[in-house]
Amino acid sequence: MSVLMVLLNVLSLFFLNVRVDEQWSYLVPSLLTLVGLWGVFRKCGLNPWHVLIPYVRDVRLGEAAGMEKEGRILGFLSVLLSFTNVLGLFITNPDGSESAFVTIATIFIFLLQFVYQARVILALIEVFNRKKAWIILWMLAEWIAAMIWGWFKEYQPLWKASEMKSSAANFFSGTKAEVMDQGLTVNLEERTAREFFKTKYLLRDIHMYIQPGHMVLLLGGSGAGKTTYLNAVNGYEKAKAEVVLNGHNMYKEYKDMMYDIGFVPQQDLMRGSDSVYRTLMDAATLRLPSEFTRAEREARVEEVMEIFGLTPVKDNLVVKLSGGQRKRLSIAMEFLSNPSLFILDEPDSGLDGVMARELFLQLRQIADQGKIIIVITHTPDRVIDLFDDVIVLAKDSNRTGRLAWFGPIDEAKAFFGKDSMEEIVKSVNREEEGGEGRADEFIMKYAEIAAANAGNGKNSVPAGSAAI
Amino acid sequence: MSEVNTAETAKKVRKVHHTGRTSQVWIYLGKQFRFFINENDWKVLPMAAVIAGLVAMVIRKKFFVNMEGSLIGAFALTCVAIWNGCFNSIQSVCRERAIIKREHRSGMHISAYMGAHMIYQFLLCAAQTALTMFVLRQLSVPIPRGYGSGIITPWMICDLGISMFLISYASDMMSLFLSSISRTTTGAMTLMPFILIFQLVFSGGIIPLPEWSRPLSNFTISNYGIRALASQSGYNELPMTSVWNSVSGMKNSTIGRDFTVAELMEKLDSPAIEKFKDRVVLGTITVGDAQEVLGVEKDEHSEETLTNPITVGQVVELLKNSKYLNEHKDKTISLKTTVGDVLDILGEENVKNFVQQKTAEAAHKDEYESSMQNIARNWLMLGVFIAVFAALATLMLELIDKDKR
Repeated sequence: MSVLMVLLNVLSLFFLNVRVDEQWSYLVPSLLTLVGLWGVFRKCGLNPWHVLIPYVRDVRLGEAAGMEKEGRILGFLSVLLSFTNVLGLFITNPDGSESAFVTIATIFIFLLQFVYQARVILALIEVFNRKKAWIILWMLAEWIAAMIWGWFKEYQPLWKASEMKSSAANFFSGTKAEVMDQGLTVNLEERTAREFFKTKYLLRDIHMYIQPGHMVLLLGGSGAGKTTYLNAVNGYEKAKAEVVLNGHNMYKEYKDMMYDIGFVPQQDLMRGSDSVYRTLMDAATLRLPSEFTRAEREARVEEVMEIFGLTPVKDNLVVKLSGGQRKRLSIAMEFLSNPSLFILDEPDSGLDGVMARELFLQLRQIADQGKIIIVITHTPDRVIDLFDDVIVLAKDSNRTGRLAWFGPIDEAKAFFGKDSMEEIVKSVNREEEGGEGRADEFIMKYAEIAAANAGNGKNSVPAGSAAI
Repeated sequence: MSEVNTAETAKKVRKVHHTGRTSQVWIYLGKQFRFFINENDWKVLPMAAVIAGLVAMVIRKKFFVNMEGSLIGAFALTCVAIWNGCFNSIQSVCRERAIIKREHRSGMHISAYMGAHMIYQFLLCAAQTALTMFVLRQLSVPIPRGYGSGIITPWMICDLGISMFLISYASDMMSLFLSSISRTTTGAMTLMPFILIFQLVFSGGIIPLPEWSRPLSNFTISNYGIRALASQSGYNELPMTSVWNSVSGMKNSTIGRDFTVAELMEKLDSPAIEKFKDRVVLGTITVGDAQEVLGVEKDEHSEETLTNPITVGQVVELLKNSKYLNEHKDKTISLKTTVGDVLDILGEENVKNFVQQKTAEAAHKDEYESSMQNIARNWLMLGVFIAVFAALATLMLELIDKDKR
């Protein structure tokens, strides 16, 4: 092979994944794909010139589809595939072990690339509001699909990637909640995560103070960062934040404080092979201080079983319990150590209305003992009378979880102009999720109120109902 | 809302001590045994016996009998031990990963949790190994018996048992490590075949490996397992019978065929003949040699030369230029016999001894030497695998809080 041909092959493999000498018939479809994607990029508000740059092309396609991470991985795989293809040009012995290695690597990368490309295209299909069957054309004859979507007027995206930078996304309250000796103060600047070489903001600018004895509802659409927020509050997944519970910094004293927090996960995470009594006894051994004698631990377990109505099933295996019993056992495990802060992630999932109400009544009683209870639930309106405050998290246009409201229930209804919690959630959800897409509006409005309060010398951020 | 009891929720006494690692090991050991009873983990024991039985039926006439049988037996038993070990623990951590996360945030020590697993898996592997050895003995696998039959311990069955246990436990710890890095049971079970294939293919025991890949076998448990078991079976001291059995089985096979003179003459130009053209086929013949053959008493002329030495090349030239041969190029010569006849001519017992001795010499491997040092070295390597994988498993599970949701 002449030096010129090798050079041509390297260039075409890098830019188009095609060998000029052996696969010239693929050149035209590859070029047409680029032309089609040029149109798609324009429609999605992206720089069309980026189509010409390998890796960047895939990253931008991911952005257009709302799959940034997958786009970056796809780009990385494309570069790897080009690299192995170019490497193949310089292997002279097709029967050698080097050739075998490169072939295996190429097949492996190709399969991965296929999977990630399918994911990105499926998301792009949703953005263009088309049928999923389009994936077949995209995967088998990408150039035809790209040309149609890029250059036919009927094919328009529901939203543009360029719309993601709005003023709300960059507007912050610039205030902090006051740290108190009792209760829970949260001053969360940001919670980030690294995703394939890029920092992603999961939560930003969340400040609040929750009084002891308050039962707080945590609302937000899917992906708004509710669980991330709870994990940041209980110190399990640390954020750039200051979280103070009853005068103790949760992050600095986490090892001691973790016994003072009860976190009840959404799933019933218990071993089915243990009995109810054994589960609680083992939990008590883990959670209670070591100075507790066996008799004291047993007494505490008996007491908690009585509170949660588990005494009649104390010898049953967990796997044999009903949904409600399991949920109560899961809460009882955390209640053993009598924590000051109780966090429950959808405790009513899988329960009927009556059972759910009974459960929330029990939680109310626990709150009345001076505990702080934060609950995520997707059916809040049937038990809303039991709550003191509500936290509303919403995704801003950068898809970062932000605080759209914290305060009493009635004021929340007035703030959002809605009659129920479900309507509030709907108002901050994105349009493509069936919501009203007003998250940015409420985020800015709430941040302005918080900033104004700080300017007036009031409690820097709106506090829970008792404070107001 | 009701009155708030702020006194109770006010600052609690900090720096209280909670259950330490040792006590937690007992909690989780208890959970393991309840799992064994209530969640059908006990099934691994009868399964181990069944697998041992199947393998015993295949190796019982060969193991400890000849080289090939011992190597196959060592490989098969290593496979059994690896299989048992791997499937004991491959799902044990990943199936309850979410529960571990919950308990970790409630004060569980990962080292205590893993310690409980290690103790439990130790007992499980020991029970499986005991069952396997029992089945091998019951199915008459010819393991040497009696006091003094062993190399390290006084009993060979104990030696084999220790090797099997170490292979099994090392595989168990390897799987525990895989289980601790897998998020789901599906993920772990997807990874498992790759690991098993790597262990079996790169063991270096049965499948010949290309030069570049041989160092890889140093990183497999199976390599040291096969070495330990083959050494204990006395591999190097046993005869190799497969080649002789093949020859013996061909006694009635006919060898040779019909040739034309032309074909034979063509062979005279072959590179093989060319290579030996200077080799002497008939040395110098003296008068004395002729007198000896003819039975005539030697005299003063005995030292005189009758002919000069004749080389292969000279014979070839002679044949190629032979007028008679060239005139009869189309003539057919028949050269046929049976393997049995050849063996009769050469002496069957001589050939058998020769073949078995030479093939055994060729198959001799230093790494299968039946010495105490060699076996101990392999046991030590298996111990290193156990320690490394156990440490890695604990280390990786310590990172459980970093799991992305």
